[in-house]
Amino acid sequence: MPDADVTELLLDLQAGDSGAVDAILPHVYGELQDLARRQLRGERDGHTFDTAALVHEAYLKLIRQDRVDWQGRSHFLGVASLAMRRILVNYAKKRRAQKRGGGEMAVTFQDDGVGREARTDDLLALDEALDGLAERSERQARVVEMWFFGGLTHAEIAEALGVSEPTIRRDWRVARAWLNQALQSEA
Amino acid sequence: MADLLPRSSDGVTDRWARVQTLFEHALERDADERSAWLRAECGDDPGLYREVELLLDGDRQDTSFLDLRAVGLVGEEAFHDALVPTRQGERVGPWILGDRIGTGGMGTVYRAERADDFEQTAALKRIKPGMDSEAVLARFRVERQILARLAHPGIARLLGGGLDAEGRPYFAMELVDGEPITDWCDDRQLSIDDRLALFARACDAVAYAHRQLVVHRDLKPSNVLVASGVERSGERGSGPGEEPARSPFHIPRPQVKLLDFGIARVLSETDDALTQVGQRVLTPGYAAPEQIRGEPPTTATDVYALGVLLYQLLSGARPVEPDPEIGALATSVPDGPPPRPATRVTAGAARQRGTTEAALARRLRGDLDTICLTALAAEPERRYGSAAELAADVRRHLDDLPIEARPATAGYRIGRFVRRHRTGVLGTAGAVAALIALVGFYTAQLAGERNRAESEAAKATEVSAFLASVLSGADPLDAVGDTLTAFDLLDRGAARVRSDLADQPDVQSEMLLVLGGVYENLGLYDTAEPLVRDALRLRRQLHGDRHVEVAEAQRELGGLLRAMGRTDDAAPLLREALDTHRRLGTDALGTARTMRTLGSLLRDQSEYDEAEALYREALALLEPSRGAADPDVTDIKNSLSVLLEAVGRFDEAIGVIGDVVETERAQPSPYPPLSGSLATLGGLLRETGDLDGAEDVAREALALDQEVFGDQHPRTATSLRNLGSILRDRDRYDEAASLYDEALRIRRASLGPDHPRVANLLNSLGLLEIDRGTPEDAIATYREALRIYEAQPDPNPSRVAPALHNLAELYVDLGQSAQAERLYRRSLATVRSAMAPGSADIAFPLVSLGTLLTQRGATSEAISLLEEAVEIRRASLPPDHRYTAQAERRLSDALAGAARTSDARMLLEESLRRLRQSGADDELVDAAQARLGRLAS
Repeated sequence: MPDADVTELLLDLQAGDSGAVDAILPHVYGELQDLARRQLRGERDGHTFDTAALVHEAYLKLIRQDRVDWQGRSHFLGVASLAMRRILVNYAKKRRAQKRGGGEMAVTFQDDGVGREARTDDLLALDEALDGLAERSERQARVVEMWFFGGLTHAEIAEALGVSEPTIRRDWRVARAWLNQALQSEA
Repeated sequence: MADLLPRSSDGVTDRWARVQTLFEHALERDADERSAWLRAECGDDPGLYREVELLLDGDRQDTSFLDLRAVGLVGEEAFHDALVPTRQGERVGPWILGDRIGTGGMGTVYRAERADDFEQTAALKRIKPGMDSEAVLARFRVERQILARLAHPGIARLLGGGLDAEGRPYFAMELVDGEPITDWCDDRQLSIDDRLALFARACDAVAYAHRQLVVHRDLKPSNVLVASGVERSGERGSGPGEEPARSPFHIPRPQVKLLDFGIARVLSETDDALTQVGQRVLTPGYAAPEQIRGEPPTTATDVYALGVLLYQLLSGARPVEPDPEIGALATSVPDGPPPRPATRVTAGAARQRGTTEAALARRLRGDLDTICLTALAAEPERRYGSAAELAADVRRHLDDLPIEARPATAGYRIGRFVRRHRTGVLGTAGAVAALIALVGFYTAQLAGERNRAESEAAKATEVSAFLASVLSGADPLDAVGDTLTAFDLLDRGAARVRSDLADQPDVQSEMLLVLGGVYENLGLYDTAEPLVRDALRLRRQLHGDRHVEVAEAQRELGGLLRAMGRTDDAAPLLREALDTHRRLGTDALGTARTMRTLGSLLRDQSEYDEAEALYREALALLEPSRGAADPDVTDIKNSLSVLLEAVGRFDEAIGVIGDVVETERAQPSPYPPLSGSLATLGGLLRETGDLDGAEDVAREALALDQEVFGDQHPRTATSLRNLGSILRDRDRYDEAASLYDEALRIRRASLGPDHPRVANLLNSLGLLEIDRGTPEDAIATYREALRIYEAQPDPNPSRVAPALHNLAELYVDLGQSAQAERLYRRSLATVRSAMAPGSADIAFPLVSLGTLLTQRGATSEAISLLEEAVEIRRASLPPDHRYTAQAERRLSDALAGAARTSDARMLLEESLRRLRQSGADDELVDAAQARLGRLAS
């Protein structure tokens, strides 16, 4: 059953109450975690985590859609992407605390031969760089957040942010260039 | 951070808008005029120019982790961990999770406690999602027996594993409180000598596992831990019974422990011996070149990883530093040999080794460089032949002896042999060699006298089933339209061993013995014999007559000949082998195994006293040092209990096998070998009439098999049958029948309807039908069993003859004596054709046919048959055996029928005396006495 409180909070957020974000986040965390747990139990089609599906499903589960319009939905997707970002960044911080002095990170090679390492330090660097980008352009930072953490497509991001898709593509290109540069200079 | 869209200062955003516009316009221009244009646009603002140039640089980066999504960057395992944090106290199988200990490529490791009454702490590894859980579990079921038997103080023991509630595989392992060997050494600034000594002990553990034919495949510092503490007694350099108390004079020895042995293999989707497709678990920087290329890992793969570890321990650097960039895998097979470790030392590394940079480089130059580079050779055949050779060279260096690193080791030869034949379809020699090694090892697990009732047939069946399972899913076979069978593969392997290894007799003899063992376990004795004989001949030529390796080949040949029933040929071989062992006095395990084989041969020949003495000597040799749970020790006890049973010392037999059961029950559960011991114990209890005890034991064995092998496995069918037979004894016919039916269903499904083991079960079912009073059903059942035995390509007389005999007995009961006589005669002819004259088995049809002929009035033929039976039994059975008494009584009846009353009386008196001596039932004694009374009158 959709959660009436979350729906109200989302309406508050739309009405300009920015404090509603912090009130919504715990609900979204919880729902994302539940959904991920269920995905793990095999109640999913493929073997790949699909963040976007998680986020969309959380929306359907949490929000009474008869009371929320498409703009409310895009707000929610933004909140969910932020939730995903915080979850992962907190995790990365914990991992950094655990690692104490490093040691090599094992890598498991998949069929395609691409190594996938748990590069949580890169995640922390990105988090910091994104804050820097947000100072220059809030929207561009949100675009990256929704793309990278929320798993949304450019079209979905365009809809969520209420701008055209070419604008999102321009935002993405410059944001990517800037972040690449920022992350490289840090390393 | 309360606001979703934090405000930014207008000045910054305005400038950014200008930067973005310039960036986009610059991108529209050709690269060569871009800079000039931009410089002009920026005019008097060089900061703006630099900012846009940097952006253009950033844009030129082809790869960026931003192009991955978060899941792609951190990996599914970390993503999952972040989203679904594990709660302490969560239950996984029989374990309760505690703290998270670490996270690696395969998954996350937790401290865990047993959820049941057993007190046990483990390191529980949950495997990352995305691997095919069912396939991993299926592999684990096959491998767990092997892994559970890896018992070495340097190897963290596998305690269990399965699927958790979310369907993810997990493994529980002995918890080791230690640090990666590299960190441990660096933190304590250990000297090169101390590092080498520790490293050699890690090699010892790897060498032990290799001898069990288990390859680690993922050795790296995080899998080679060092813990402070005293090693268990029995290990190199530590006295027995040492307490872990720390006196000022007693510095605890650090203990090296290897984690995750064989786990990489279980996690591989398909068998590497046969295909290179599938998920591979490997770690860049430690993975050998052949592993990266996707070739089957071998013991040489572990030698390479040990080389990396040694390189790192010595120099602080790694031979190949993995490229952190994604996609760098393709280039991570090094082109040439790595630089010598001596050239890689830094001041920091020297400090961690308590020395200076120059002194460290000097120390590494020469031997240690050579040892590292030999272990790290790109071609597996150029590396050390084994972890043991690597350890030996390290120790030789420590002892200032010349090292032996050189290209032409035994491994070089095997490797060259394998490599030469790596071309071709599936019949690559490498695949064959790996297959043979697997089969050889797997069959070793099945050896021994467990499940006596069907041990030979069971071994052959499970080996072929295993071969089939190894080959199934081997799509490459279908792809080339080839119809190789496992046997073809073996035959090809044998042919190649003979032709291609002719100039390397030591390797050739080893391979011949392995192959011979495989054929023996498949029941193909005639194929096995020439292989084993050649191995023996080669070893004699190489080493002379008195050598441990010669004795080993003699033992193998002796054991084979014993299996073939050629006891007279086997005995001198085994005696000579034992004599060699006794003179050399070096190889305790080999000596004990030879004693066991010779003991079992003597047991076959009814030389019980000497056999028992040998078993007990073998036990005394092994048990104190290896412990009661050692598989060789339990095997010898198993043999001893079979002997004690044969001579009627049932209580002692139960005592011996009961000890084994107790020992195995104390092992981490489930412990698969326990099932076989329970079967033996159950059989003994049943024989001594303790049906309550027998039923309990049979139920325990069944539950264990169901847990270990699942509900559909032939082994589980055997346990169902055993329990059914006990219930049959208890007259619980319906329960017994349903157990037999289930067992039959499993065997027909897994082995096919015409398999001899289906027929074996039909025999049990037939007995049940007789007990139930439905002999017509039993006749149909027995006929089906007989049909199956006779339908085999090479019918086994020791199956066909009893089947004929059983059927004949039924016809006797039904009063159809002509029919019965025909069948008895066929049974006798079958036994005679297969057995040496005088074999105990011939006596059964002789007695039955003789008795029937007596009843039918054909006394003269009856007398000659029964005389032969009496003669055989007197010679082959222990004195005063009730079977001898039975044959004498039947002969006495025949003699009485021929009116030779005094002969008849004499025999009957002898029979009665034996019966009394053997402690037979009063009823039997009374009947014999009454009979004697009638004769006397």
